[in-house]
Amino acid sequence: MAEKIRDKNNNQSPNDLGFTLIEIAIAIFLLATSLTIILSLQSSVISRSINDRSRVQAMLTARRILAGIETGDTEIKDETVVKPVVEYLGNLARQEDLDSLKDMNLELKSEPWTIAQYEDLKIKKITLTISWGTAFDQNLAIYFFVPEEESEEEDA
Amino acid sequence: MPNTSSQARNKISGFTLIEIVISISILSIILTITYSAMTQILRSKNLLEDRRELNSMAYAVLNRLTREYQLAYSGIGLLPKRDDPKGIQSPSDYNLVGEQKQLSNGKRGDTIIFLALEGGQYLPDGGTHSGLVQLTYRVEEDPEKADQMPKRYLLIREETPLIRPFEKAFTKTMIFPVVDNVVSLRYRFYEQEKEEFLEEWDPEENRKLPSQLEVSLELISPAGDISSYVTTVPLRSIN
Repeated sequence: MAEKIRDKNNNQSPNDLGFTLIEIAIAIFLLATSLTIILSLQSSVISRSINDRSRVQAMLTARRILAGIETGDTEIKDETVVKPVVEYLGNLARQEDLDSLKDMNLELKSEPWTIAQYEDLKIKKITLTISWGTAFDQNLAIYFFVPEEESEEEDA
Repeated sequence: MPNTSSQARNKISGFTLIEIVISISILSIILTITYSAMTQILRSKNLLEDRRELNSMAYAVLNRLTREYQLAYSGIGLLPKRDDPKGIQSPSDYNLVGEQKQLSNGKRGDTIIFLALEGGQYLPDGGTHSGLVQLTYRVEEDPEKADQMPKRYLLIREETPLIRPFEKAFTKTMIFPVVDNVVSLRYRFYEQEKEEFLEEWDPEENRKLPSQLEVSLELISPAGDISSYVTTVPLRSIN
């Protein structure tokens, strides 16, 4: 009987009690932290790759828009236009080519510009910003200068 | 009495079958989850690499094409046809031909011919063709990938220096592929008077150069992912 009691006492010694709540909490916390780190690494790689793809598309789209401005085929006024890219390209682009651009927005700003010492030169500064999201790295800005009269000359 | 004590020792010294079964099943669940997560990660890594390769390829090709289209020259007419080298040179305002062509996959693989000023590529012996060269870009079947579906095509660049007699010029023609894995290539040409893009540029009707050239290129990645890239190049005509 005495042995039995000792056995029981042995069973209840701290080593045989299992885990305490604190230990389990710490273990789960560590597991969760490491899983979160791995998964967020994974998703950041994916989003970066998607971002790269959008950046290439934005660059090509910017060239499309600026080509029209450079040749004078697209008239440009001194104002700021904010529109979805699909709407801006409108009937200039093939309909099937617009699908991949439907999440893109543009801001096209044109303003008179002067260079110190060359104040007689009339220049327009065109700022084209294309964005495909709200994050700081989800946009592309291009500055472009055109002589004010050139487009009129080309039209003539 | 000794019986009970040995029973108690047994309990302390090992695991019961139930415990082992439970622990093995937990372990196997964890392993399954980890394994599927790892394969998922590996698969998305491959997919991303595949797409990135496609993107950088498209970017490099479009940069190259943009550079060469911008060298298009409108002061001199195109060379006679290659199969008729004794023919006459086109009038001086026949500067660009843009023809539609249907590929065997049902999509378009258009051809463009124009003269480029100092557009010469480096030749095998180190120099370049100086002055004007006539460039032709056309889409052809890829003999190495004939059995692959969907179909993959080559974009071929042909360069002929503008020298007389033309028979001599055509012996110096240099032909090589610029990019493979092409699915389709379409052009559109901006006609300034009509203020619209045309699907074809026929010098009989449209003289000189279009003011803008729109290029739509579809490429396929090794894994079979098709992406489309569209850009526009401004061209300059000499009045």
